[in-house]
Amino acid sequence: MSTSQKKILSAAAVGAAAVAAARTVADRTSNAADEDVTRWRVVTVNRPLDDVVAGTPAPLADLGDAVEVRVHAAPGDKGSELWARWRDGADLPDDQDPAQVLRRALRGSKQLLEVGWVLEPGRHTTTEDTVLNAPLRKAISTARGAGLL
Amino acid sequence: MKALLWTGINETSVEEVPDPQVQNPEDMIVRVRRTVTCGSDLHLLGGYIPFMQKGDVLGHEFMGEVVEVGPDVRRHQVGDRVVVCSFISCGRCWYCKNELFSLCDNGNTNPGITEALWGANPGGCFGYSHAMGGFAGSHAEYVRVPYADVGAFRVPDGVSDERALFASDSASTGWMGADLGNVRPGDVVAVWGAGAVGQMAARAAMLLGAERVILIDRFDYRLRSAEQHVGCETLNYERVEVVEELRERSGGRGPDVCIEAVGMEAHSPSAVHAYDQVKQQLRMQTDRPTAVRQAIYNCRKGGTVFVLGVFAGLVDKFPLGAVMNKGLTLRSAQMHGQRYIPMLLERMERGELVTEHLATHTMPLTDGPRGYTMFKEKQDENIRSVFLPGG
Ligand SMILES: NC(=O)c1ccc[n+]([C@@H]2O[C@H](COP(=O)([O-])OP(=O)(O)OC[C@H]3O[C@@H](n4cnc5c(N)ncnc54)[C@H](O)[C@@H]3O)[C@@H](O)[C@H]2O)c1
Ligand SMILES: [Zn+2]
Ligand SMILES: [Zn+2]
Repeated sequence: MSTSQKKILSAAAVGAAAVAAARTVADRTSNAADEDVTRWRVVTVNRPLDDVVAGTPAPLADLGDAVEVRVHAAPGDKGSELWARWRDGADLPDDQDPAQVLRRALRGSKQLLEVGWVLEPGRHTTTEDTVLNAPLRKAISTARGAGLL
Repeated sequence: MKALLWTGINETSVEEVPDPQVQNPEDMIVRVRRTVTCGSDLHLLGGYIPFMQKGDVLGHEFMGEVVEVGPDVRRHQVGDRVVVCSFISCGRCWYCKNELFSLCDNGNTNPGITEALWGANPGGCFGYSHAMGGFAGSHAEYVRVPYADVGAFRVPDGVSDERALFASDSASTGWMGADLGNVRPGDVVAVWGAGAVGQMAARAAMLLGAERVILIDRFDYRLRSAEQHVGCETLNYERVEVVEELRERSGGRGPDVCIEAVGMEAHSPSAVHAYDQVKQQLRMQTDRPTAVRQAIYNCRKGGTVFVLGVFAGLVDKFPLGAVMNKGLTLRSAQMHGQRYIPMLLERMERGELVTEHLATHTMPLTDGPRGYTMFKEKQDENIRSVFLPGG
């Protein structure tokens, strides 16, 4: 095999691995715990409890009575814990995954409390939609609401 | 503006893309004066970190001039000459408050990807794939710098662009390896990898008082460069037996601190290399940990191994038995640059830390693809290719 053939082969193998890894992440953007929609989800906020009880931050408040919110001090020097869950029988968003909606709201609330605003992702320069990059595009589009939280 | 884009595995090209804009109140826009290739980019180029999209702007180690500031930026003004940390960190979360800046909770706008991969998300990084936030990189005429007061630092008048550039990533990464690797006066320190990161780790160990610092690689030109500009000892592993040599140079004990600055594409002179490469290509392991294995094996009992090299996933034949039975401390991190950059700039101004020799090739950004080939293939004794977006 020539060096360039070897290079092409190994690039193809790495490429296939890349697609597979992105697909794994895309698949994992929802996890087993997502099935339990009313499960409590929690973020730790590096602010004293008083600042957090002062008011429910907008991203959570926007979900209204459908979510139940609970706050208490985190152990040690870690600030406060901000908990939220969809109430039993609440009107769930029907166009989006409720677990993702709640995760985004919790992460956004944490950032509002810690920083004062939510960091905007960079605007994409150029990109093409292809079958090969579909798993990665899916992983990116759901990445704010995905994860273990 | 012009920018150097990742366009596919081992493919880059310079193209026109939209100019960045201030999007958050603490953003600023920097006109890039110098931006440099990093060993980390090779892992992206080769497709080993599979979260790049065609058209993503590469580059994370850079300096330049402030051309626009958001309404809440306090420490910088238009016209300031700044060096910017490669990691994007808020400065206010628990991790930032504890100076673990690369673990920032609020720096990565795609937290779900790395939470799924690793169980938690590190901060964001310029030009380092969508797993690290998908921020546009610095190989461009302009770059958006979020959290500008936290991540950008004014360059003292006495420090040139050429020197300050490396405070952004390689010098601060190297310093972190020696600092968090717990280098103490009188220590013997071994560093694997004589690229910019390994050289800077070796220099940091010397400045922290190490008695002997031994840098290991197989490229004589890189080792010669380190002997001349860093002033450490060197060892070419293709010519001498590392195990025996390190024992001899440390009175039979083994180095107190072993710093790995090689990463997931490590080379190995033995048959294990072919084994690692095949397993990596079949996706049975994602990373080749040759130098990590060596660092662990050679470290003295009770010593510290610090992994600076970037790893993304799983490794094989990890010598956990040696870690356990020799009572080693194993540490690692992406760089917490904000913690070190001001001090490094002072040392640069005093002449204790020189970096210019790392920039073996300087060229206009439009030559970027050639610069990457030279860096990757180690052509013409390349250590780093520096790009000038201004031409
Ligand atoms: N932790 C961080 O935040 C951080 C920041 C910057 C770079 N990095 C990583 O640090 C590593 C080094 O970066 P760089 O820019 O110096 O890269 P580089 O590619 O220029 O240098 C790597 C060097 O390692 C040598 N090498 C390969 N296999 C070896 C082995 N088995 N033993 C000894 N040396 C070996 C190579 O010959 C080369 O000279 C990369 O993995 C990079 O991703 C990490
Ligand atoms: Zn880097
Ligand atoms: Zn932070």
